Amino acid sequence: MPGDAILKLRDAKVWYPVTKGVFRRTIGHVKAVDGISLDIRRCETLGVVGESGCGKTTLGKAIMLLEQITGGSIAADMDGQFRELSSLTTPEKLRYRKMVQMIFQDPYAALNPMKKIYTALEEPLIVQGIRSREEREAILASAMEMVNIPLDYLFKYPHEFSGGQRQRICIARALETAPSVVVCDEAVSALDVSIQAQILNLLRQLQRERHLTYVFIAHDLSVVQYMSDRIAVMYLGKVVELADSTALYENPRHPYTQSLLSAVPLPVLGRRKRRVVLQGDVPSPIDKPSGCPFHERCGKCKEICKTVEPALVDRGGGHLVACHLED
Amino acid sequence: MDKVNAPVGGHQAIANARRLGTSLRKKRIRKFVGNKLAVFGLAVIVVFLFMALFAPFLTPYDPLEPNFGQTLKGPSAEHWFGTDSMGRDLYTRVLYGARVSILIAVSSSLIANAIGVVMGAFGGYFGGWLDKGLVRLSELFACFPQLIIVLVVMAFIGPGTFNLILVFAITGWTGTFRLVRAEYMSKKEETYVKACEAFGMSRLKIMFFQILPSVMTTVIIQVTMNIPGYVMSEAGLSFLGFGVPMSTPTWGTMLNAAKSMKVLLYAPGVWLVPGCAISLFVLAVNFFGDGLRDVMDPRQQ
Amino acid sequence: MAKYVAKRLLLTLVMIIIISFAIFVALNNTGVDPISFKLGLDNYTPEAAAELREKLGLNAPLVVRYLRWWKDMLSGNFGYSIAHGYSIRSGLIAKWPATLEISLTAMIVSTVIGIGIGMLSAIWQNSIVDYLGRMIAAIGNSVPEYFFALILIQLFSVRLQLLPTSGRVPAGAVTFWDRLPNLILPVAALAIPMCGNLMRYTRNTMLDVANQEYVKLARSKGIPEWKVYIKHVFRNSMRPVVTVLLFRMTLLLGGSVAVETIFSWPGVGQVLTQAITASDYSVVMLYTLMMAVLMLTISFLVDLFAALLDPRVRLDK
Repeated sequence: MPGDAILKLRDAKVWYPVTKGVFRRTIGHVKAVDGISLDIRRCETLGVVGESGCGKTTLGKAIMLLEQITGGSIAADMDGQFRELSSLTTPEKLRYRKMVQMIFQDPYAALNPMKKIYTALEEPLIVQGIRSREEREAILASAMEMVNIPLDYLFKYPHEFSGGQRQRICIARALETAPSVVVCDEAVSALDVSIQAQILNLLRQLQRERHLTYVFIAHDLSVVQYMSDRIAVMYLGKVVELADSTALYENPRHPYTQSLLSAVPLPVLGRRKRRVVLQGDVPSPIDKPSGCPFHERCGKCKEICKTVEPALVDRGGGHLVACHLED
Repeated sequence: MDKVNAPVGGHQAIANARRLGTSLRKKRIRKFVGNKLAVFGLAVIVVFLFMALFAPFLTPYDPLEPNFGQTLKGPSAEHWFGTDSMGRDLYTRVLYGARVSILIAVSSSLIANAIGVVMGAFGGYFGGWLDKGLVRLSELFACFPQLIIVLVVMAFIGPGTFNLILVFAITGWTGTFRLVRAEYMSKKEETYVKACEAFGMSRLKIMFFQILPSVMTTVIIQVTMNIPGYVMSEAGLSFLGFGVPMSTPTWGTMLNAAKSMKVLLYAPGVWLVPGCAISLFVLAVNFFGDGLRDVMDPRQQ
Repeated sequence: MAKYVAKRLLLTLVMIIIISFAIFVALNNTGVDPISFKLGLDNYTPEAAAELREKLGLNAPLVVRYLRWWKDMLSGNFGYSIAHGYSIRSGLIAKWPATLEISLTAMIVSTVIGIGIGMLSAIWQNSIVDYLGRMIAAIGNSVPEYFFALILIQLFSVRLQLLPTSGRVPAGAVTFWDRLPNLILPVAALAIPMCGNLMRYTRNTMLDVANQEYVKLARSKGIPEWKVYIKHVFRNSMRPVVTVLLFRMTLLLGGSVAVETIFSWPGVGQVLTQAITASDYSVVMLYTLMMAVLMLTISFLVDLFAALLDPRVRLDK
């Protein structure tokens, strides 16, 4: 049913060891994703925002099984039963991959320059075990129609297309296996603004028609607002705020979210707002500060923030915030 | 799963598109033909291959049968390039020599590159201790002059056509290994490889069906560019007497005649003919390889 | 930098140990029993052999014998030729100067000519110099040095009778000018085919560098063309050119084997071919060991030099 969880993340972690010296001693970890718990609901768009390096792409890769999680769990609803991804057998993994697909940031890099579009679209179908060529061609013809690219272009190379066309081809490739969940990793940030709108509208239209669930990863807040039902704000591998899109934009409660939103230019004339400018840089994810990861840059830092890490708690109406100021 | 329906006439439209689609091959051939040196190289190669293949039909003589009445003769109507110190026709020996010389060079290059590709692919794509070991091994090979490793190994296993190919192959893979490994290391991080992983393609399939085609241009050029080296090494070794047995006619064993002072000083034709054959063939392959390199890179279209 | 050098040095030593151990094992398994050789046919009895074996320490474990072998070599005892009984020290080690004489001279000559013409080709792109240079490079790449050596002998010794066909005048009593004629042909045979390679490489590298943005910037600032070439293009082209040095040295030493045979030049290459013909394994293996040590040393020096020229190499790892 729409609204039920389709993916459940529980304290999911992706840590990379940092080694040193001849004997490769592990001296620490890069905590790209450091304990994330959230549900992704059927047919919603979950926006994930944050500065570069906050771990949002790694989160997407972990969902895609492109990155091994080193702690916690990710479970998926497969035929009404939640299965943990790390326990899937090889054929089950293949089924999971049919269910969850990804659209990448750079549509040029996402297509093999040596292969024609026809091959690029055919390959996932072969992997999914569709033996008959007629059936494959039927599927890929309708996928091309879905993204509005004439069939005449099938036997051309990626470099013969424009950026927007390429991204539409990537969307066709992701959707032709009829997935339920699509991870869009900065899907429009490499495109011109006019093309961005086109692709975003296409994505929304496809979502309505095919009941898709999107995990929409981006750093552009206005794009995320346009697309998302709920938004998770990430900072240094953690979710610091998670709320409905409107609630988050109208009433941001974490100081980090407040400063992010204050940097968005407003399209309304005459409305002035107070800019919250952050001090300093994002700390290294290797040696994170103790306590609240944001306390070094927070304007409202209290004594407790330096020692105790705040938990992500529901502050009413499904608005989750990880901040001591809320207590 | 939502069942998708093909639009009316979908198959027909796909068939039409296939006919009208971009053909890299045509573009490449057009570009290659524009390169005069490359075309010259190809023509010379074709002539040599033709001569090697049809040697028995192109000459009435036997390459091995001595004729002591006709030793060290200059060029004449019967013997176009003259005869050697055993009275054998030089033209005939160049034809038959081309067979073995080219066979050795081409098969050595193919085998050596095949080894290099497989090792480079596994090392570059999987990384780890396997990669480290292979890199050290290739450095070990690469720091020796190849001719000298081959000489030493040939000293132990003795001369012979097959032995020579074997030694060339096991000592000649390092260059290709390094190139292929480097390409795999960079290509495995490409988004399109990640995309293939995302839709569940197996690693071996990605390695050989996604990445290998883009590495193939490098490999084809390497195979071509290695051939001249093997032609020259074979000749050099046979000249010294450690390549193929003296009874086998190759361009190298023909050159070996120049070790005799009499031939070296007073019958230059005997070694000039095979020497020129080597140089011409090597030059042709080099030109052809350069042309191939210019044409093959798809991003340069 | 010191860390980089130390790491590189360590690697070189490890490689030498591995190679020399492999060679030592190969030497011990040549199928020739040095004891029977030393005793001679007449004196050979199993008891005498066993006694001598014990006396010479041949029953010690392999590693001990390996270390003893290195100790012997470091004190100047390299063993003996199996086939002819001569000491390797006088029969092989003493031949190195002759080989290095022609290969190093060829190296210098080919470097000067190759880089020189390569640079001119790049500066005057598409001029006559460039076309001639590229033609010579193409031919140089296609003519093997031994064939070139034969042509040189035919031309300069037989036809023109200008230079001797073979042999070497030992250093010592005579002057350099007396020794020069014998040196010219072998060096030319080695150096000229080598030039082609370097010419092409220098030209292409310089053209690459000359098209970089920072060179265009230097031009746009109004710096005279010759200064642009010397200060920006030349300096940045030299690192890749220096790194092919090692590669060229291996080619030269490989090529010198055939060239020494043709010119009866009394160097190690000639000893090697004779040793291989006579299945003289001890000489062949020792030659291999020396070559390995030499090449690894050069490789180390080239890396060191590259690191000095390019700060980027020093920084990574």
